[in-house]
Amino acid sequence: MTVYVQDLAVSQYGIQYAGSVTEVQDLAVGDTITASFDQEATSNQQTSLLDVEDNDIVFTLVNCTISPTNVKNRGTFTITPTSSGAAYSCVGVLIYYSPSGQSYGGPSTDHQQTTFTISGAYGTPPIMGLQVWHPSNTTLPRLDTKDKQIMHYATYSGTIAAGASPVTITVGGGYDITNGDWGIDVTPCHWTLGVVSTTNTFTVSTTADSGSQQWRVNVFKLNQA
Amino acid sequence: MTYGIRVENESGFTQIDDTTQGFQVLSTGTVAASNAYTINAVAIPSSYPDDILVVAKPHNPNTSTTYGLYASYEDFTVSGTRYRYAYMNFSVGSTFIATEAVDYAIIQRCSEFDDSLISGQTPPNQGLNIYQSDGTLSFTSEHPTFRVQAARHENITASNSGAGIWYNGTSAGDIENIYALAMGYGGYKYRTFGPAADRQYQSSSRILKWDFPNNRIETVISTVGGQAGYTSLYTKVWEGHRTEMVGYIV
Repeated sequence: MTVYVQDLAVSQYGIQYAGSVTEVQDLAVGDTITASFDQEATSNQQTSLLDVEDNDIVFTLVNCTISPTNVKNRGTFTITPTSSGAAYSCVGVLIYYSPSGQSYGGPSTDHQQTTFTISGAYGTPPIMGLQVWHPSNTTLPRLDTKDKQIMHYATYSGTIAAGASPVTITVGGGYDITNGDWGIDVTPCHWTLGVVSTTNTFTVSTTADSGSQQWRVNVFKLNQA
Repeated sequence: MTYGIRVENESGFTQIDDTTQGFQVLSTGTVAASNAYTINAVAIPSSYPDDILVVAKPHNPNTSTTYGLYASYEDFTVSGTRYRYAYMNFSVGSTFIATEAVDYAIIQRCSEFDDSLISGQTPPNQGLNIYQSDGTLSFTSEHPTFRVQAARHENITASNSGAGIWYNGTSAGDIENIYALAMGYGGYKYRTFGPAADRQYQSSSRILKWDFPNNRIETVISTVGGQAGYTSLYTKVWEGHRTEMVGYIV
């Protein structure tokens, strides 16, 4: 994990114009940037233009965060990308008092602005896992690193008679159909068969008016935590 | 863990471990196209274990349109003989009639495979076998695997059909290779309504749609209706929790 330093500056000679500066910094996963944005100024400009309002820089952030969030000219802050595999950008606009009578590309005739931009790519993490190939297929592996393996857990079956009380089956093992790690296959596909799960159990019921209803439930895992 | 290996992928999902068994392909085939009145089936051989799963995809699809899967599984015993059928056909485009052929695969627990098929090869093949502590297989590269790419879970009720897009292809044409768990599509809700002298019915089905033009998989609700005769008023819903799952057979 590398901490890059990016000190972006616009010359004092551009202070009456809408200056801008851009840097590109590509990052690997875990990298951050220690940054500062500086609209340079002579001592007189500092007093008469920048210090009058002493505004915070206004940021527009894409796929990144900054800390601290309140930053003034020449202040130091950290940029941390948030989305692996996605481009990030950190754009800061400093608006300051500038009574020139003309906007020169700034927001008004008595204010000017400087725009600082740091952007780049944020790399994907190293691929982990196991890849297994078979000579019968040279295009798709038999097992790949992004796969979820479906893993058998248990199979239950039975018959429930019309009018009978619901049957609750204990699955155990932390069975929780709502957490994404478990799967359930209910057969047959029938109006009169209901299978509802709760933590560690499922309950089979029937709304059949007569006869009986055979049922089968396959429980499998999609992640063996 | 005291024995074997455990492999986690970049998302933190376990690909292989020493205590649970993956599902691998036992057999594959094609369920033939049908007529408007029948949904065809593959008969499950009696030698197959109880906990098989059936996955399916359109057979030679026209990729400029959509295909909707109707699939169900029946397991019943008559006069001491057990029958198991996996019914499946596809509708095409906006039609309600499932007549198109299906490529299917029957998958089973890895431990159900005969180990001698793996260990007795001449010449020895290459690949990876993972065994559990009792000597049974939990993974082998000798058999095609059902590689899960996406799964979701819905609690189906009268007011929640679970309809929606839930898998987007990862590359152009991706869903042409996608199989889906095919054991519970078709039934959703049936209700009768209206006055006794003009009783109507409405029958809704949950269908899994391969949307080839948009390269995505979607659960949709298809509804038909008509005269119900002099039946009583009722509503029936195939309720309960359901897992939907898609993946590759490689």
